[in-house]
Amino acid sequence: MLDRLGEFAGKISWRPMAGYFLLVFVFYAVLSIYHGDSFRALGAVLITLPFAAVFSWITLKKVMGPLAEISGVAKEMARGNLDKEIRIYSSDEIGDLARNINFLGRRLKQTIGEITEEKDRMRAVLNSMADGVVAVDGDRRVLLVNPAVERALNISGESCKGKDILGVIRHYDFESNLKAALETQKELNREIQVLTPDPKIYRVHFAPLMGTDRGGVVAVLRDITEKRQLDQMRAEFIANVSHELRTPLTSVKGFLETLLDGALEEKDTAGRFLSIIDAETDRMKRLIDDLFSLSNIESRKVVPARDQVKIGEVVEKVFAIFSRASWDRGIRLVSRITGDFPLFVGDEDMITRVIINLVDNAIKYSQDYGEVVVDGGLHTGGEVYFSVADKGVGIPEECLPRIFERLYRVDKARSREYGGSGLGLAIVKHIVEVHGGRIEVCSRPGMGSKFSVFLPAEY
Amino acid sequence: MFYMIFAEGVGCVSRYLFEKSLREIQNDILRMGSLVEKAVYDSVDAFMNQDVTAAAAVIMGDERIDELFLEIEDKCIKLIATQQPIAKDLRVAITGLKILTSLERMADHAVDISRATMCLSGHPMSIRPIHEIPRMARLARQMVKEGLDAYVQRDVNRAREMCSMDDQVDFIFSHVFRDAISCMAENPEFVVQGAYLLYVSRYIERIADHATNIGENVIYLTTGERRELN
Repeated sequence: MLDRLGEFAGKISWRPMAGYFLLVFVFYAVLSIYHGDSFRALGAVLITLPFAAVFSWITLKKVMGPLAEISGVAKEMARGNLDKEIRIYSSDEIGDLARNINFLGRRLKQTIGEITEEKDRMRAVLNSMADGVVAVDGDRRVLLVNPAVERALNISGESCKGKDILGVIRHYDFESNLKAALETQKELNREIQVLTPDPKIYRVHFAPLMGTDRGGVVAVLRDITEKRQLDQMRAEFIANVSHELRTPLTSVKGFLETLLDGALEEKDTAGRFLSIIDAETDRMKRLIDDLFSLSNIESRKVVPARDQVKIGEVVEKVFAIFSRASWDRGIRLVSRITGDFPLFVGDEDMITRVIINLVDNAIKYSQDYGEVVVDGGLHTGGEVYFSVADKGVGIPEECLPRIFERLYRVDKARSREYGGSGLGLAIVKHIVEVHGGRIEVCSRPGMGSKFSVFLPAEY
Repeated sequence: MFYMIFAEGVGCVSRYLFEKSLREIQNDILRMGSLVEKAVYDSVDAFMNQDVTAAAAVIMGDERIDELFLEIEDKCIKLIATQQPIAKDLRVAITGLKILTSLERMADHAVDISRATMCLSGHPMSIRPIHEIPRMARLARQMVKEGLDAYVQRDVNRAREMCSMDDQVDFIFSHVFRDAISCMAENPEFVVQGAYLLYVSRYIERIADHATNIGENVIYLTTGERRELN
């Protein structure tokens, strides 16, 4: 029992004890006044007062000072400065409070650090996304746009935050679909055409924002302009091929019908008709052969062989093929390829095809008595190059980017008259590409064209 | 005392409603603006490519623009009648009406251009100054866009800059006009083409003028000053 009491007494700090002591004095003073003993009362008060003064002063020092510091640090914390710590190490309640506040500060700092990191990570993900992301809240106010959208639609993300979506992306279809997604809370998938800054087509996915009280919609924009262009090119290609095949077929059919109607009896006419039919079927065969080899190269069904190509010999062989055609029109074929042209690894048949197509074009588009020059050598960076140049009609600048497209023709009437399939340059380009090389063209209308092929010495 | 608080409360609510309907009207105007931008873009594109279907689509699309125009105009009138706005609020309501009218006119010009395309169907233009049309249309389009952007942001400087582009459009228009006349004089074959070209360039020039009007209204809206900018 006494032990317990001693333990209890040990827990009581000196301040309450001093308080009780003072209270006893005050009680004594009050009793003295009650008994009318003013002398003793005065004595008690005189003894109590200095004690009380000293005691209050100590309390003020011990309690108010630390409290002021704690309040200062708490204020700093509220301002966001979490590095400050309270330096009070006393073992009483104030010390406890200080330690707890320090602990609170550290925990806050840790939590904020984690949240910031999480946020940074999310931002990094959004920033590096190729697709555009736009999020709006339930009142259609912009919550977020990622840099892909900023770039694509030429808007600034910071300035549009909190604005109505129409003030940021002024697009009728976009806005009306967004509104529909917001109202129905259902996902929507739409294709949207944007005119500014550049005409583009986007596939936009609108999805309601889950897990927020205020609702909202997130729209993800994917640029499908290129895909659409490819689709269109494919459709054009099919239309062109059908057209290219139908033209000779119609004429073959026409002549055959005439022959069946009786022209077969007239020997001369029949012979002339048959030779036209022969030429037309040749043209069709050439087109189909070209289409076939193009599709083979394109689908990489044919793996290029790894021959040691001697370009000089290849050029001589090609010149031999065209010697008759060029002789007829007085066109000179010149090879400036010297004996020290480096050997390189490639598919000899394919390279021959490239030179055949380029020389064939050069002769076709040269004026009579012109000149076709094949040159070549070592290019910087371990590349070999060869070029085929003519002084013919040239290619208008606006057509240059398209000449390697399949069946693209600068002048439709003229090239058909020359009997080309419209696939020559497309085949050249694909062969060069499977060899890991590139092809360049420079041309000026009326001055001629020059096609240069660059190939790595070993692909 | 209680009455005063009550009145203030009602004032707050009606102010809130007023601002809300003003915002709605502005959004409606922007919605219509986006349609007009597209109509202007598509009509010139259709004209340059001689694309009759695209031109027909513009003409069809104008119905929606007209509907929106009437709808928004009604909203504006109702707002003015019921809320009786004063000072800046009145300016906002009135400029809204005026910008609306400008936009509607632009859409009509887009329809006019599309009609010209349909009349010309199958006759590609080869008259010389036709090459100036895309440049002129690009400028006009840019002006419409900038005008609406300036309206959204209440940006006086942007409005002024936009209006200065009108001089370029006017310059190209006068050039096209002279060139077309001389082409027509040289070769009577070009008379029909020239006539249509003149119409279309005139419409584009008018679209740019309406864009300038929007710019003027934006300046009036923000500063209260009236400025003639074209």
